[in-house]
Amino acid sequence: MPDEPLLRVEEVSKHFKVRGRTLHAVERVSFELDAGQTLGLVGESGSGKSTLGRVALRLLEADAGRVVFQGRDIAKLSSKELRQERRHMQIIFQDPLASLNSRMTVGAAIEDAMIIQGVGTRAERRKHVDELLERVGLPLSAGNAFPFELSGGQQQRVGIARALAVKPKLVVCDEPISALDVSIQVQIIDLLKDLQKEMNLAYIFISHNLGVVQYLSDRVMVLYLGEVVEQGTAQDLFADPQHPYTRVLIDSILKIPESSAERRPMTGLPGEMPSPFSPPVGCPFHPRCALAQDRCSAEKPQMRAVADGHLAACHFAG
Amino acid sequence: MSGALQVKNLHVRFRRPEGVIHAVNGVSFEVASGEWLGILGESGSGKSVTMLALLGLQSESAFVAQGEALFGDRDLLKLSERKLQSVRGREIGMIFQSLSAGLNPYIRIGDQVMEPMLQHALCRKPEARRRALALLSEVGLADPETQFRRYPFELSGGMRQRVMTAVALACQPQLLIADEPTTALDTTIAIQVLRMLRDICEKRQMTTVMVTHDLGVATNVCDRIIVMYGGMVMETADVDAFVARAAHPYTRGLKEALVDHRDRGRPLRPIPGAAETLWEAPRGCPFAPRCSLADERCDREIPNLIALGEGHEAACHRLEEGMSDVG
Repeated sequence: MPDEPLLRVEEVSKHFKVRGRTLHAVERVSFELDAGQTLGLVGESGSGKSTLGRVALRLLEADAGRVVFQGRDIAKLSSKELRQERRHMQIIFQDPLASLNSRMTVGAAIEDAMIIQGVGTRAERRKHVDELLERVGLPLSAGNAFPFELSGGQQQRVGIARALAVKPKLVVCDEPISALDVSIQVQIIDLLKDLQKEMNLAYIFISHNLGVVQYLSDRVMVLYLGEVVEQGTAQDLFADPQHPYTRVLIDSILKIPESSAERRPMTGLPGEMPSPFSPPVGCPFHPRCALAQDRCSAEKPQMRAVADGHLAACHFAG
Repeated sequence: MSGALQVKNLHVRFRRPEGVIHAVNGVSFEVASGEWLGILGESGSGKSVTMLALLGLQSESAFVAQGEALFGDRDLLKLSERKLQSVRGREIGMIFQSLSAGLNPYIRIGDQVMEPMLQHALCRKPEARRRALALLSEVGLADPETQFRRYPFELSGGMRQRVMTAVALACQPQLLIADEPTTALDTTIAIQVLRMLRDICEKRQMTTVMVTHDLGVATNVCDRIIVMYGGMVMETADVDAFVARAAHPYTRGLKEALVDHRDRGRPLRPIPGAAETLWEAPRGCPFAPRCSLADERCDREIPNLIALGEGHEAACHRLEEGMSDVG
């Protein structure tokens, strides 16, 4: 299958049972991702971005739908096959310190990723650790340090080195820069971008920082209460947002004004995201939407193309 | 001059087993009555430590080595803990970043809003209850009677930040200190909270100092901005001068580090390196190790703040030299 994308997610849903109630975390989400491409996921906390990223790697089992990675339905893999496939699918977390073993040196943690996958001899692994440290911009001495001895930016570089140690094809980046200082964020974005080019990595880039998503992504999906409300190329979606929620998200970016007179009026979005235990009937966004009409609370809008490759789920889009 | 604050030559250090960290190294600034001042900096810049030290809330390993903090006719740094307790929460309100640490999970919202009024003996319980309900409504919570009886875990992050604001405002302070009040919130919610804070501060004519790492927040809300690095003030400017003519290499680097759609396809210009822990008092400009303009003078001589224009100062040798070249 020459046209098979690296990752194909079909109508995937994920629900959590909490004390007898059902939390709708992800609802019938579909997308495709090609090698070397970046898909950005945006939305407020609770929109389902992180859950979707984990379902795509089968770190969480989907309740419905299929995740097809390199042509294989990953739900059908045996645990041994899954472990082999995991080599190609890695994740970088927001909090690198929490994701690293505090009693393992940085070098050992990076090597551990290779040991789990049975990659190389000991000497080869050690050599590769040094190469990785250098590539992510850490001194070789960092290999002997413990994670807590490093700064936040350095810890995230370790998280990246560990994810890349097994030469993956897909990396889910779950808010990888949110905990970092602004001046360090840019360094990490630059690094991720360069590594993508060198290794032809596909990224699922999850962030609430729309500026960064726009910078890094080829395509972007906007999630609200676990549903995709809009998707398109980063260019189209940000230049010509079709869904009212996307527009609100873009308007919520506080840019540096030209002068004090240009300050944002700060209207913001009224209210907060409804409970994912009982999502609204009709369009999930209608209780907060300025454009909502009777139809929106009765009829769920279907995802439809408003332009080539640009889809939105709003009765009034286009 | 209600709510005005004047900080002079503040030095704060931390005792650690490995040595002494020089967290704040000679910070001076003023906040005029009714002004909204932003203190902008990254982690380790000393911005939060500065504000905590003024309130006597710094961690146990920290100590104020030197400095004055004039609030009204008193020096906050010379007050006994007991006197300071009567200032904190009553004359100076505080809002913190952490949504979990600011409220007691076991106590109902209403009791937490009433607590400062009762503790400072401003009124009796029925009156405190009436005021607390009015405060909950003022910070934008619908149905205050219901919120009054709820526990923090029943509220969203944005609602909890509103409750903490109500607690901070309970005794009608003249000065509000807000440390990263919206950092833990989604931008859509952060905007609501900033809007609420700005409206309330305007209406009450409250002086506000907001500590933030977010340039967008600082420039859209504050009247004046102080940029800190390495425990020192690098630049101070009113917001118009800040957005149009920010001059210090660090401030300019921060502004260029903001990534947005205009950047697609262009290489980013990160500030190289990272801030280092100051195990010694700085001998020169703390930003020099990361500054592309630095020369050897920057390493050995601490730059003073020089006036660049009305209400605009920066501490940079190279700027000073540039100006004298022109002059």
